[in-house]
Amino acid sequence: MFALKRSPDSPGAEGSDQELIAAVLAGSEAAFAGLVERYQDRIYRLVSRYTRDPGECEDLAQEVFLRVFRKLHTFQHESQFYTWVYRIAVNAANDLLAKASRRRLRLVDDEATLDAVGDPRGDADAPDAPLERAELARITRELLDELPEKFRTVLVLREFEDLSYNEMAEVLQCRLGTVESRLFRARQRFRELLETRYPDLVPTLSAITRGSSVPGGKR
Amino acid sequence: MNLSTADSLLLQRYLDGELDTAAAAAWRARVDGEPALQQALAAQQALRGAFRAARGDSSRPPAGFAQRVLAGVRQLPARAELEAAAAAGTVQRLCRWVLLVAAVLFCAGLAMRAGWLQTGFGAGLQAAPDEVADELQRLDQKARERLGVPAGRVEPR
Repeated sequence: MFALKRSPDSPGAEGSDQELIAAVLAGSEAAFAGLVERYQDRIYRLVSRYTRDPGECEDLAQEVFLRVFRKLHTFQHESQFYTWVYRIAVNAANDLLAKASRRRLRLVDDEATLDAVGDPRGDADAPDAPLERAELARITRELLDELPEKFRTVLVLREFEDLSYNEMAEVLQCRLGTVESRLFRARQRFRELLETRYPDLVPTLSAITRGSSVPGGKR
Repeated sequence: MNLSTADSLLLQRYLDGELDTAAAAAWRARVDGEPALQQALAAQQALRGAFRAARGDSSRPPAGFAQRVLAGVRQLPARAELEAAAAAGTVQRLCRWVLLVAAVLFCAGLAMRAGWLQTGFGAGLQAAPDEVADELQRLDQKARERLGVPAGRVEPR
């Protein structure tokens, strides 16, 4: 007796999260496939910030979806489904880092494992010279890697995943004030590391950001 | 360029797009009038440039990833069994805690019986009669001082 049936009635990939969840709980494989397809890009991108090894990255992403499946009946619909999935992904990534702490897993560093297409959101404001940008990206990953897990996670969620403070509070299950203070300390620590290790880079960064957009009001 | 914590947090909220339109406009107006804030803003924007540069470096799921996830899920037991296993896990964790607390209490009881722990009820904590007398005298003296009564006469209230 397995958890899924191959062809029960299901809302299909275009259904809402709630519809798909209900169908998965009723045993629909197609509905779970719909959820996986809907969230696989985001989850894969998130976990790839925690491990450099492509095989490990895939295992971790798979583990996230297996945990999602196992725990789906506990989802209370009090938060957005994707923040619930993110929470599972962050916990799974931190479990992996804890297990691998002796091996000192680092953030993705192997260019060969990186998506050649990249994330289009990042390209608009990025430095023009590809080499400069690649070097800056490498340094950023190196410094992020050295931050404590809590600091790294808030920076990943905010800087790479674009989560709002409210969404981060849901993912991390903490108060808004905690999110803000942790983010503040994380950036402070990152800046200290950057200034200590790469003092020459700070003026370059300033040049890069000249002309970058300034936020307006709340999204 | 030392900003107060409140201003630093406002700056952070501003750059993260967490201020509403009016607050963002008010903050922008303040920045325009204060060179220290302008400097801090530029420094924070520079820092964010580093993250923007690293944004594109993420992986995408390889072909067939969703199918492999589904294959993994097909190996899982039925939903009812998963839920039962989760419930059993919770009970197991609870029992483990109860046992742990019971073991700690049992050990503490044994240690008290053996006299390794002082409880406050045993003879070990009883004050010597002289100490008690001295303490009473000290308290009497304090009461006399407070009431302004000469030594030897403490008036009841």
